[in-house]
Amino acid sequence: MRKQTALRVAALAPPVLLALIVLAGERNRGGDQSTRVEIGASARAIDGTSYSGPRLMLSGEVLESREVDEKRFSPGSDVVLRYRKSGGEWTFAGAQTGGHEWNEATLDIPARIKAAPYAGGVKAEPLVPREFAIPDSTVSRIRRGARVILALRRGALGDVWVESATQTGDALGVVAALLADPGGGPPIVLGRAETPLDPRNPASREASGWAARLVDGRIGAVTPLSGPPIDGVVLSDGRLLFAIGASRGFDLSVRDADLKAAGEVRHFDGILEALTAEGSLWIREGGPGPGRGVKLVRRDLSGAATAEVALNDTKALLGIRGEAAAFADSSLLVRYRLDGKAPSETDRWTLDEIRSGCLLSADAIAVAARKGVLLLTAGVKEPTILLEPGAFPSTGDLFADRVGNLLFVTGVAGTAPRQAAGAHRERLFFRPAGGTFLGLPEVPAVEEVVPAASASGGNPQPSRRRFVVWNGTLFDASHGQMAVFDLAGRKLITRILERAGGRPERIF
Amino acid sequence: MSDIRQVLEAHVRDWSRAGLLDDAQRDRILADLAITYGPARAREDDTKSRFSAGVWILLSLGTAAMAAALAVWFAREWGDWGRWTRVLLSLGIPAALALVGLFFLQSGRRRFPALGRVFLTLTAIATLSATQLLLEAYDFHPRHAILSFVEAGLFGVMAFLADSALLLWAAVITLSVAFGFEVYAGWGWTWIAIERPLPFVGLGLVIILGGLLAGRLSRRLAGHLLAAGTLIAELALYALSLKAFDFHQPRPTGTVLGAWLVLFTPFLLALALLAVAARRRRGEDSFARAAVIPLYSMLLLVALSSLWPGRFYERSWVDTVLFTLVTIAGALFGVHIGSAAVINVSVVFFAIDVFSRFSEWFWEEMPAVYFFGLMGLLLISGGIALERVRRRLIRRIGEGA
Repeated sequence: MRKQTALRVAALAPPVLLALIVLAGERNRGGDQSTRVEIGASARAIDGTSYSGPRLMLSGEVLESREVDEKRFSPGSDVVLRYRKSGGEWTFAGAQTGGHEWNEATLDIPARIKAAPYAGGVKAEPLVPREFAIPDSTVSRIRRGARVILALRRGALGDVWVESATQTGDALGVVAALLADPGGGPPIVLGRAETPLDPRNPASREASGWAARLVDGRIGAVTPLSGPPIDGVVLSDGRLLFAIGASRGFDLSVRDADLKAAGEVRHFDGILEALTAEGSLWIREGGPGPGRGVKLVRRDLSGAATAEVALNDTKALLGIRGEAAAFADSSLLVRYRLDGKAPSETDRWTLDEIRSGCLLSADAIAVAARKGVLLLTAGVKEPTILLEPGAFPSTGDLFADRVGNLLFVTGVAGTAPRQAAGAHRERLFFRPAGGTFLGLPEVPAVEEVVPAASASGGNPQPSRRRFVVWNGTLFDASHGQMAVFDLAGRKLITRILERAGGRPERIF
Repeated sequence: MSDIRQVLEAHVRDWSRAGLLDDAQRDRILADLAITYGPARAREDDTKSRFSAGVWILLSLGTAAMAAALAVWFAREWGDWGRWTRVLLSLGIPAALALVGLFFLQSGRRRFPALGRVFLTLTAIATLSATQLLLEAYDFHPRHAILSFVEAGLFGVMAFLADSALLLWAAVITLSVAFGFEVYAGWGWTWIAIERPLPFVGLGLVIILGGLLAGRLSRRLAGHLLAAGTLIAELALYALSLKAFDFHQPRPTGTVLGAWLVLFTPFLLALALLAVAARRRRGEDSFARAAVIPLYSMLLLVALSSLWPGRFYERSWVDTVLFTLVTIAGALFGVHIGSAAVINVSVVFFAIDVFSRFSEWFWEEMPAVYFFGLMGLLLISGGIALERVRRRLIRRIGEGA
């Protein structure tokens, strides 16, 4: 009999334990007197399987783990990560033991120190929710890279909880081109419309686009485009030329200064490699397939071929300017002239650890390699060092615009890579055409959410950085954000993360 | 003739020689033994055992499938449920399952007690699912796995009260996961990478000794505990002996007290349990001898690993030798305490050890045909040698009696 009673007590104890969790949870929320604080995050993925149900994964500045000094903090110990609000955004101010600040200006997020056996060192893992079980009906509404505002409360028991999550209006998304206004006005932005985040949704494969001007440091009224933009250029006659991805190849659309159509849309097959202000374009055509060699073809806007060059170099194409093209692998950079049936090699440089490069003009190539950022000039064997390796935190990527301005982007040591969840920060160096590099302040980056598929007709996703300089201001568009810098003051003015239109939607 | 009959007959003859039994009594007992353990009974037992094994397999597989369905249903639908629906179902479903389980187990209604055990196991799984989802729904970030330890203990008690092996395994798995959480929280190891799974050796040891102490309550369930403990301890030791997990990293500096507690508490607890077990089995010298061999090996491993930070994550020949020693000691320990589970698990790990060492040393040194042939011969020889040891031990027990 005693055994029977013991069994009854033991069997009914689990629901009692569960009731204790409910009581503690209700106490944590019901007795919470803390300030409601809003933080920004981005929708990283819809995770989960048919076994676990859909889960929304978020990432953001306040949600990321932080590398901390292993001499100060031991694995297993509890700390707080302090954030301070500056310029409307939360900025990490350091890890410390103890701290209960929770207000509109300062946040102490509880965290736990964990050892990182592979990477070495220790990191502080914030004890805040980052994954949320959501209903299927909500999943279909969440857009790729959507900006999500989380309302956080500290909790009466010290467990931070999320009061609400709201998807903001349309996020900036991927910027395909940043064009200087031929009339001298603010720059024009070509962007891709966001698609659903849920990979099971067929619409997540169909991207369309938009074009807009920047007005007062914000994205102005949007003009819809028929498909996802790939690139754009301001023609020498002041009109605009937009390359828009199609199911195969791409379309070219000529627009006037008001972004309205100014001519018929012409379709091209192949992969767009370069657009010129003179109205010609280089297209990679042919291949793969037996007997189909790859070739670079220059066509005018009517579609007529004006040059055709067989392409045998398997190295990466850095760019094409005029009739000059440059190809590189990790140690060799070759410049060709594209003026015959086969490219004719004009220059060859052997360098250590080539990371990236771009053409500043037909005769000048910028390269990031082991010896720093180098300038290679046609006919000159020795490179010129533009930036010594000690002047920047780590090697990075180089981007040039059509007038020869150069942007060097490096990751900041100790932050996560862009493609991974983590607090990624970048440092930019800008070199005006013919000038010297200016160091710009660090800027937090939005995690890159790689689209599952593209509707660009095989054209590469415009993941490259786009930038433009206007009135002493640098507009730098990377994935999901546009950083605006004052070049004279060398300071970050703002980050543009959203565009006009679109209503906020409550996720939960 | 069965091993048990042989040993018992030797005892009876010994008592007869000592004058404790007269010849008539001796012959009657020997005749009883011949009936009880004779070929007819053996055939009957075998048939019964085969049928019950079939029922056990079906019920266990059915329970596992139902448990999976329950866990998947909770996780899959959780996002669609509102706050109070979540609370209601999280509390209501385990309670309902527990009540049904108790109904089938109640005396007087014991028509199908196995079904009661099935429902109690489902109660445990529903509780585990609901715990995880409720903690997440309330945005709780557990710093310690105290709740899971309590649940593991509760499931263990339920298992012994309801005589359910499946529920016992649920308890052992819950305990291991909870312990793994503490190890991860303290040392930053990941569950999969098992860079230095030393604390799990201690956990296995605790479960083994728990099994020894629980033998009086239920020999059957104690056997499962012994098997589970041996599996965990030897799996951890095997991971220690693998060169593939050698990360050449020093022990983290400034380790907090909690992490050291996670490392040493299981070993200290195992020592305490060993003392209790030895006290209960005073006079049984073989037990003490057999138990201390693997224990000393493991403690030596702890001492080396914790006192020598430079090789905290490294693998060396010390780990390899200790693993081999422990598998042999484990098999001997199993023979002495009469646990087939401990013997079998240890022999399997001994074979895995031979295979691993053989691969490490000879894979690149000889053609594949010789490699596999030689390894096969080695393992078969090991099997023959082990069988001889087993027979000799049985004979010695018989002669000794």
